[in-house]
Amino acid sequence: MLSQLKSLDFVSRRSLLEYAAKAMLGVTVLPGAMAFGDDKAAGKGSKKDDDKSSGSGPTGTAKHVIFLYMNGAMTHLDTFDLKPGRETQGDTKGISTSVSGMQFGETLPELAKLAKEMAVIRSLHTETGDHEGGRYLLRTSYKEIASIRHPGMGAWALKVLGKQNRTLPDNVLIGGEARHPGAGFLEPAFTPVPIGDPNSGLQNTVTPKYLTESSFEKRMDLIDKFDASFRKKYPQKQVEAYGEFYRQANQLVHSEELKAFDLGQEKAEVRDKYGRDQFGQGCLLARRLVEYNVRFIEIGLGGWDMHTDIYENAKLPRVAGTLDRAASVLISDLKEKGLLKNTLVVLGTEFGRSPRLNQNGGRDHHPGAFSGFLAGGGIKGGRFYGKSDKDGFSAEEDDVTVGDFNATIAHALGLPLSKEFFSKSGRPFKVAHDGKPILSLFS
Amino acid sequence: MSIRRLSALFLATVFSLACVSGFVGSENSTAFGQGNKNKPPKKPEPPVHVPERKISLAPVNPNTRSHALASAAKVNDLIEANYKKFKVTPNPMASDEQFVRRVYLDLAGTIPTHKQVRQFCANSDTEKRAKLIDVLLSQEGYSSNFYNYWADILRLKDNQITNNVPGRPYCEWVKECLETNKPYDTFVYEMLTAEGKVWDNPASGYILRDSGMPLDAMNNTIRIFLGTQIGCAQCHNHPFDRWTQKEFYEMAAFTFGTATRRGAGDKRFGGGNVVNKLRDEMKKVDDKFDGGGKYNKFLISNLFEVYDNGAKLALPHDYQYEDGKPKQQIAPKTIFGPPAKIEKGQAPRVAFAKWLTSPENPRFAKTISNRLWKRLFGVGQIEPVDDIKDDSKPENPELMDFLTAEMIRVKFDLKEYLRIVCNTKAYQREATTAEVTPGDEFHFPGPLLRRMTAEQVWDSFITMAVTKPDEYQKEPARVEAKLLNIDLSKATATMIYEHNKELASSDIKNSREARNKPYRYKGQLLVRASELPSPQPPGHFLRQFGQSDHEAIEVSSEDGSVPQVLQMFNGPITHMLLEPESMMYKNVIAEKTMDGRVDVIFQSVLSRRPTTTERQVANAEIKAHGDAGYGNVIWALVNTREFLFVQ
Repeated sequence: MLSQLKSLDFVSRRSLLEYAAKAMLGVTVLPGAMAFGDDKAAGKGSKKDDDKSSGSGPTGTAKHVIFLYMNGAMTHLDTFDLKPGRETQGDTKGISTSVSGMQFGETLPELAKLAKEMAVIRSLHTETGDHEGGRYLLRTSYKEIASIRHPGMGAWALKVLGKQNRTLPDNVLIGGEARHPGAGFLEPAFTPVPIGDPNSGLQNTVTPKYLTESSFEKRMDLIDKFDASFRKKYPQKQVEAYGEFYRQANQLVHSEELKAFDLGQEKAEVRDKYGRDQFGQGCLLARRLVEYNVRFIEIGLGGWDMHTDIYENAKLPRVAGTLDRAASVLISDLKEKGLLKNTLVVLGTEFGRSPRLNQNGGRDHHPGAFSGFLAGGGIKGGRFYGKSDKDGFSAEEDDVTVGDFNATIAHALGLPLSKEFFSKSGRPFKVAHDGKPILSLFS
Repeated sequence: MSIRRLSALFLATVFSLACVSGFVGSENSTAFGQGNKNKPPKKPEPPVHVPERKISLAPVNPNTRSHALASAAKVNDLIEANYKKFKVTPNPMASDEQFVRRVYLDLAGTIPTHKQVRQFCANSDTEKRAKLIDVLLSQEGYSSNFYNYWADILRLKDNQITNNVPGRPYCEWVKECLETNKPYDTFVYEMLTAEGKVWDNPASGYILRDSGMPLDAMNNTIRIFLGTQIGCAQCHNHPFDRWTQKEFYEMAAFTFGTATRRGAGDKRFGGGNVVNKLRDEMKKVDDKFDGGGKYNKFLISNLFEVYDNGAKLALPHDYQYEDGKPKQQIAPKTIFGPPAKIEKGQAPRVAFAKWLTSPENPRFAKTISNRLWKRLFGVGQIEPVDDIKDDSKPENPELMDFLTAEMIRVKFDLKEYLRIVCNTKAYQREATTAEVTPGDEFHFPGPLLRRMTAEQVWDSFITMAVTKPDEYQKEPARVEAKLLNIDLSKATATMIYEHNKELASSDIKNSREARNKPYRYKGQLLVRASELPSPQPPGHFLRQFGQSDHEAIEVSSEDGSVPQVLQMFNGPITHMLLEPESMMYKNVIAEKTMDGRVDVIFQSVLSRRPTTTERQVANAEIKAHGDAGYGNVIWALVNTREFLFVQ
């Protein structure tokens, strides 16, 4: 019996190792820079004083953010901003949702059932129709320029609020593209840990078998003996910092919480429910990470850049269906587990798609109006906010800039909006670049 | 005991996971390196042609060594004057072991092999340090190492520098400039004045890199080459420096008339929209083509070309200062130094490039002298190196002046300049043990203790693992260039279709496979960082250790992190050192005694012999665990901080 158990253990460890070898090092774990970060970053004192700057009124209750990033620019007209009866609507039909008067596109039936949880913004607009420029702006609230890099929201949250989970990385990017602004000019420690494939999770956490000393402590001991005179000779922070990282790595690989990254811990039915695609499994991983108290998770879903034949070959239903399945299960799961009130689920994209179909039956880039949604984290759902004009060309009512959108997320997290943070070169920046949070969504 | 048996023990219970490319165990496996070229494979296969680029390395001139040493002596005097003035006790001179490791890392970008360490330490020539400096400056390690340095500053990307334009030709050109040791002023001048498409004139990659961002481009150029930040003045008068927004515009006016992209309707393409026209034709040739972006690597990339169109720059519509009016046209004018004279019929940027790279320019020679000083000492004479202001004070103004004058004297020959600095006493002293933070008074009692750059860490692992790491070279740019570079005025759909097919042909694929196969290990290509596509994707070892993503200027980092530690503990790059095919393994096995083996391990990893205590620890480990103990010692040593830092 015992030997059978052992061999099982062997197999599972081995398969983990193989995963690690396959997807090769796709991770960086947040170094939890508090111990060696610059300063006040631990968020002591600053939070309360500056909270007020985000305006009076109700604040969000978000301890976690799951940001669903629709890569390539999601069509607003076929998802959340329907224009029934107008030519610009194209072939998509609306379906009713759990909230009367709210309609979603027919490819989002499951999300439609959860409309009461969602505040859907239909008056977003942005400054650029360039993918990379748009993505950068949406993530940072700043225009991309060559002389500085601005931080994404996850990095801001860590900078201001400090580390929330003591062992796991607190800012995670699942299936994101390489050009994520990351920590911008903030400490590199706040850079999101990229998880290339949610199925393989966090890598290099398994001790290679060839080492006879299986415990970390004993291995550390050998290192320490060889390293002692060097460390004594150079009592410098940069040298000592590695000691801290060794300690954290040690803690991490021994942490029970490492399981957070292991989707194998979930039942097959659950994994199926989310969809066995990368986005679905990414959403499941995000849910697990929230359960383990990780603060910020972004998951990317590509395929939205539909310049041609948007209504053919199931192009739209395929992508929208992936979103619908995973996002709806995610929201329901969070709610069921009592996590939704502390978890803000956000859907964002770089811009919208042109209301007029082009000659190739597709929709082109369109910065004038687009949609996104917020759910959980103190957001009151079951409503639309803002309006685009009758054909979906421009934001017409309660227009929302990208800065406003980010300010709303920041507000939910309790981040200060008027406080200035300085880059190394002494230039001042703010969390949402003076965007105004949509306070009415919180009541 | 047979080697096979020993190797099994050495690796103890190693998993045979994902052993790709026959690295472990398979009979016909050979060590890394193209050494297997000469070995007949089991089944005779037609030889695969692997295109190579001819590399010509410029050696340092042996006749100028004495002059370089005299200059180094002058630097010594100036530094020692400051020791006296500030009552500084200099650090002791570095031991041969410390010196050989440092100078290899600084000039060749990697730690030395144990043989190189032994050879150097055993040499009794009193001039051996100066000679080693000359050797290293003359070898390919130099161009590889400084390529990594410039890749960070110039944001080099092999894949794409702008809309569908490959960066590969430009990257290769930068590498070649380092190989041939092109004078730095010529190197910069060629980039700033380049015309044409990236394939025809790869130096144009510099301007193409900032295509569509003419103001940012000027900001970057001034920052990189003149160490001056005028970027803030792009939108308003500079808050921390003296530059006004008008001055920024006057500078930008030099290059504003330089375009990077031709319209698809440009007359030279025969009228009409050439891209749309070809796309329509493509549909007839390729029935799977949906009119989308599939052929953009031909259709769009060939619109990109650096040329002068004479466009004039005007102040912004909301210009708020009294020294100009909104939308007022701006004439080019330099911010400091002698004025740039625009000759008749000459593009303003040519005058600008001459002004910028001139020895008369007060910041051009100074900036590069200061940058390279920092590269060797860990901190510049002036900090930050890219934010020099009128009142910036060098640590030692006379020294800074002398270094600048030397840069001009050697006519911007960077090898000659590095040769001088490496031969100074201060450089050859031990690293400073105390912590020095920015703003601290520091008078160069020796270099700072530095963590290796990401590329140095990686290349050091490659040195320990791979037989002939310097033999591998990236696929030459010409392979793709001859297919991608087309004249849109003459191109036909059939031709583009054929070119595209050829890009994906088995010939190209096979030659890539033949090039890479001997160097592949568990999904990693074990070659010099400079020969890997630049930059690497986020999860790669190099990125974990702080390689820049090459989106912004000099954003590489030497900070530690938990993932680095996990990588060192459990990742395949440390694991590979223990494989029977690795250099490390072979070198250890070649020694017969335990003491000899322990020496090899220490000299390979730390470039020094073990202390008595360390030898005892190592011996105890090996005695307790048999041959697997060797693996543990290697593993533990690469996990020391001593390994990661340059003393």
